[in-house]
Amino acid sequence: MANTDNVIHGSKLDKDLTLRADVVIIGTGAGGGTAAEILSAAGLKVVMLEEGGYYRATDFRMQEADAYPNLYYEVGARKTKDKSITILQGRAVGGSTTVNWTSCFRTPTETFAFWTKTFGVKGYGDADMAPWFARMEKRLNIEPWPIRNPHNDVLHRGARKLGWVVEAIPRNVKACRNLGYCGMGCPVDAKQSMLVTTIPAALANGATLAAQARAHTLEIKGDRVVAVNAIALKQNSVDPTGRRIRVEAPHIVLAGGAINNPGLLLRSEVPDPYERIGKRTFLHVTSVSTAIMPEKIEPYYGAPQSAYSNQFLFRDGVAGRLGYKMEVPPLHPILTAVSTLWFGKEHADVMARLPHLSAVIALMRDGFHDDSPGGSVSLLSDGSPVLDYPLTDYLWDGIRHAYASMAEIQFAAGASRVTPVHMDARPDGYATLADTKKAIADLSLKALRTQLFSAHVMGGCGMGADPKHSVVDSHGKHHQLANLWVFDGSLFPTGLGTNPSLTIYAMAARLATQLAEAAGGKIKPTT
Amino acid sequence: MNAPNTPPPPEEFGTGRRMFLKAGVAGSALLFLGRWLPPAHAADSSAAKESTFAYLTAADAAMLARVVPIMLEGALPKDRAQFNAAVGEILHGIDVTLAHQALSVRGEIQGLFGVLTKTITRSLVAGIWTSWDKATDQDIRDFLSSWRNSRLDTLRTGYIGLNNLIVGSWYGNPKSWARIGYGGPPAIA
Repeated sequence: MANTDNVIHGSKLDKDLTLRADVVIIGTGAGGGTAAEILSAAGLKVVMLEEGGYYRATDFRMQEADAYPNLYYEVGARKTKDKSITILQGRAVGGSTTVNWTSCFRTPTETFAFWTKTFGVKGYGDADMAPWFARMEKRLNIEPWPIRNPHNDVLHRGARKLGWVVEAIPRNVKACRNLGYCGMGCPVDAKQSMLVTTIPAALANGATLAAQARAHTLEIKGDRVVAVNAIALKQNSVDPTGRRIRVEAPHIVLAGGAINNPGLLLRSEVPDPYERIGKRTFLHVTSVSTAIMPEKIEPYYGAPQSAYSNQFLFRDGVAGRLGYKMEVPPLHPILTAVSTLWFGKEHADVMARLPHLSAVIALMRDGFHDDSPGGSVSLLSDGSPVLDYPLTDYLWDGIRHAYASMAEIQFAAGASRVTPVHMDARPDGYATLADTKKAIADLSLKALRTQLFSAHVMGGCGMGADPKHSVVDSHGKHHQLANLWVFDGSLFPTGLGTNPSLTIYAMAARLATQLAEAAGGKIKPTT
Repeated sequence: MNAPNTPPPPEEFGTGRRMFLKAGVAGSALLFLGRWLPPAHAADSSAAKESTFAYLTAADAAMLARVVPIMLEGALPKDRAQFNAAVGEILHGIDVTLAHQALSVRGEIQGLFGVLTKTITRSLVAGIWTSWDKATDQDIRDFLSSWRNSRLDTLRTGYIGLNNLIVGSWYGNPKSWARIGYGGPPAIA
């Protein structure tokens, strides 16, 4: 059991608090959790601030109706500015690692090479990063998952039949019972999320965790951040209680993700001479194709993701036309219902087929082309951040190509009918590949008719050698402020082309180790 | 992939010139107006009642009580008592969603409900020329179709918001699962 003596719940706070630490970490997801363990193990006093609540396995009831309001931003439907993309982002102790689908991939070699060449980052060769990947794979028990549920078998079987590449997905689990409810919080602590690994370790090392505490502003004097001012939140992690938490520390680490980090920096009016904060924010914009299978799929049971295909990830090279990764999403009743934008009989009929329904998703590898500049974060009038992500013809080209590839896989796997998930496609789909391809060619690809999703927020505090084109350097240190670091997916200069959790774990482990040394901590050698 | 909520953007009508122009002057102007008009006309008999919800007003609840059965036509129990209970639980679920939404989004959803419950905007923007309790099922189907298929981004956003709030609330309810063959979460010993 985790030591909870040094856990503060904002909702229960009855007075304002001032805390002092060697390092304050804002956010407890893949980046913040990893950094907290390493920095606290080096003997540094760490305070973690987390906007979400501190929920544990006993709170996770495998019910979507509980999980989305309590564990996700905006009830699981955070939106881009024009509402055209729905973003699944965790908001809880453990961040998105508490609710992600456990897929862990090393960063593609091509991505690191592109960063080195285009953004001048140093230390991101495969050989530089290999030991950090190995370390975190060991720490989180990451291994290829050997069991495919019927849902993932559709992707596997279809791709094999076509002669396309398809592989098993490595997952961060231990004694996983293959339930299928990773997205609602693991009820048996099998998922090796930050919630059950690095955060309890940091607490045991003497770190303090303040949950339901939203970092509101950084207090800046000269070129240094002197304190973080946070506001305590009610049980819903939304409404302020009126209490405040101030954390004074000589080292500040941002790990709140690619929308919240830029939001905090913009609210704090940190120096931004080249207006880079919040720019180049990436999403791996995702489109969906559903299929009705003759056999029972029960797409809600079993490990949600166990097969993937990179057949078209680099379909036109690294910097050519948009490529994508293909995976499978779990289909529980709410997720399916809100992705079905019909009403009445058509909606009821789609839902009635749920046990036979399957889906493939295509994650667009954004950020590698001039016509894929990503989005930009700005502040709403209430000070909260919003991401404006323009949908370009370059993006639509990738999406249309992916609809056809997903349909090919589904028919090859024996689908009776296939539907590109778009408001103008037939709700009961098309019976042949030719009909489906004809429908795809005719679809009007535009915002709020084409259903788009994201589960990966990246960039917005991009790293690079040149302050004119980046927010932080190769160590994650802010270009203008002397004691501010970014240790999460927001420092990626592009999207990754793969699920980002392991990249964040490995980069945060490395950067936090560098910071621990610089901050006078004692680094124990790892085996 | 998405969850119980997709709100419309009335916040942007007041402040965002770009959105205003993009949406088309007619639709946006009416939605904008909807924010500033007095509450629903007395002809909406429910409007004067006190709400039993934390965030939904009595007028919101009366509107949703008519829209929910059309959005979910074919998916709700046939038995009258069970049907009424289901609609009540769906409204409660929407109220819970509002309680957990970001403040800006909560305001946007309330703005959408404002448009749909004020007489002038309900008539001109939704095409519902009677109070909600007197609107026919076909009136409501026509309203949902017209917003779903509108050329205006704002109206499509409004449709998607209503869809997600309503179907998200129902399919999170175990009572909806038998019809769709979902066995619910497995038991864990």
